[in-house]
Amino acid sequence: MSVLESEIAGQAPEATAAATLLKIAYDRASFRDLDAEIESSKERILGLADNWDGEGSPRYSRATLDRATAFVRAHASWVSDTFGKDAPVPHINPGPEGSIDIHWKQPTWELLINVPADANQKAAFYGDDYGSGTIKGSWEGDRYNSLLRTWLMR
Amino acid sequence: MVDEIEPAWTVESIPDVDRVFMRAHEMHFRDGKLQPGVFRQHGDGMSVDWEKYSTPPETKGRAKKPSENAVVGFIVGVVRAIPSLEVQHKPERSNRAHSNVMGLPSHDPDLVEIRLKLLRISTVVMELEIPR
Repeated sequence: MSVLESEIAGQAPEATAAATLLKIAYDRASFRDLDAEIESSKERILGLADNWDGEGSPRYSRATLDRATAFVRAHASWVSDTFGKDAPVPHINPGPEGSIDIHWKQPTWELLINVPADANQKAAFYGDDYGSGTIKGSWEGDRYNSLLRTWLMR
Repeated sequence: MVDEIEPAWTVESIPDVDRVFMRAHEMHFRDGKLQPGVFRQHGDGMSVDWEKYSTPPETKGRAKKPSENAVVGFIVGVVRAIPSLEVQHKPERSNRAHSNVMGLPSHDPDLVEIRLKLLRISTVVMELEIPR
């Protein structure tokens, strides 16, 4: 039990509402790293103009980045709600041809999701445990993917 | 112009033990580490330079803005060990070292897998001037 949760447990009944609000604020703090990564990705990626790398790469659309960050947020909320723990925070990076990469590199597994610039194309993913355990596929990026959820809880 | 009077270079076979180099823009680095977004098809394939005819500084010098680029290297045989990938010499008049990594799939899970595997076998041979 955290210090804050201990404090809440000791509150008088009339303080319950305020304590609940504090608890919500405390939970929200667990997303600070994720929010920082999302804000960072907006600054780094949306500021790139066409041919930003001198190799002809196109700029990135807000809509593509929003699809990527919506998935990451939804997943983090699901992990928090279901398991009461923080999901690992990925890197959100510029991908090829206006797409967005979501990349987790953990000690025991690695996963790369690519959200294409074309909203009509499916998002694609590949991950492994640096051995024989792999996950690979594609899905409608704006929907839940239970296979990915499970993998991200390894 | 030199390019107009020089004959085209002969296409050669690149040995497995040789290295090829590729520029990596500074936006593809996080906390000093290369990210998988750097790997993409450009024309016929993923453009690289064969070490027989190019050094890392020369590869970097061919960027529009060299100061914004690092250089990464691959062992050709290790690239070829990834299913579907091949490395072919494709010299240009102005760049005898030019080669292509061929066989990258179009957007789908296979491409995502190959990008992650290319990331794992790449080595930064020339760091960014200003680390990111």
